[in-house]
Amino acid sequence: MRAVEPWVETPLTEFLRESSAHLVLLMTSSGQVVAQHGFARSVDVMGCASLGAAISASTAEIAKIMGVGSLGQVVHQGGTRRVLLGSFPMRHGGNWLGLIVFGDDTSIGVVQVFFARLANALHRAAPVARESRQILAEQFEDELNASLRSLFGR
Amino acid sequence: MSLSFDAVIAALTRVAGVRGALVVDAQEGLVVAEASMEGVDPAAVAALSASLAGRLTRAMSAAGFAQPQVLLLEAEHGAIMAAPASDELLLVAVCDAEANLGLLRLALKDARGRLL
Repeated sequence: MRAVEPWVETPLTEFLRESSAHLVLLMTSSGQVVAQHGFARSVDVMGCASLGAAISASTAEIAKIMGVGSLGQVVHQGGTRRVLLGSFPMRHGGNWLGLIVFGDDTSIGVVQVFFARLANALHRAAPVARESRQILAEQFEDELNASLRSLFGR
Repeated sequence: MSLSFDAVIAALTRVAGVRGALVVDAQEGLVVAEASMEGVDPAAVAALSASLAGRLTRAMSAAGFAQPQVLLLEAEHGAIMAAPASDELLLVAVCDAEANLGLLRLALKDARGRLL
């Protein structure tokens, strides 16, 4: 497990122990990666972060069109592996996303329960007066590369 | 809630001391039907009970036994009693320390029979 923000490590470690998740990606709603577990290649992290953020944005729009407020979580039932993509509010504003891949050794219910606890723990652990920084399009690649260097140590 | 689940839940919550009852998807640990319980998180009870029941079923199988009929977890201030109703469903009752566990066991077995 690698995290860009050190205060993420304890709640995420607890989540990994309780949920038996295989892969975890935590990111901002714009796709900036905050922490990852289980990914071997940075290119997979980049792809999953971009797609996760895009799926979350799409489902938010679908929820708006349907008039159902928000779709907090999306679960994809695969053959042997399942994916949960969930959004949660952070203390310093904005939402974070969690992309969780898990198998038959756990259940959707267990992952949902501990994902909700992870979201609460991160909300509590987040620094209160964090400066909200707008990432411009031209800075995005540099930011992404910096995150990936932190996450993969290169 | 469907009528059959409604009747099963009602039969369990009629037992004195039962604070709530759930029908749970045993594979996914999701709530199928539940009677509201103050101070109890039904989603967490469902998920963790199903996970525990699954592990205990595997342990029983490894020991050469069939599927467990009733699971009882007793704590200082209450207990959880669960009964697998099929491969897909698990019945769970959350009760306080004064509940009649013998009667609840019979009610769970009867409810189990209705769902099988």
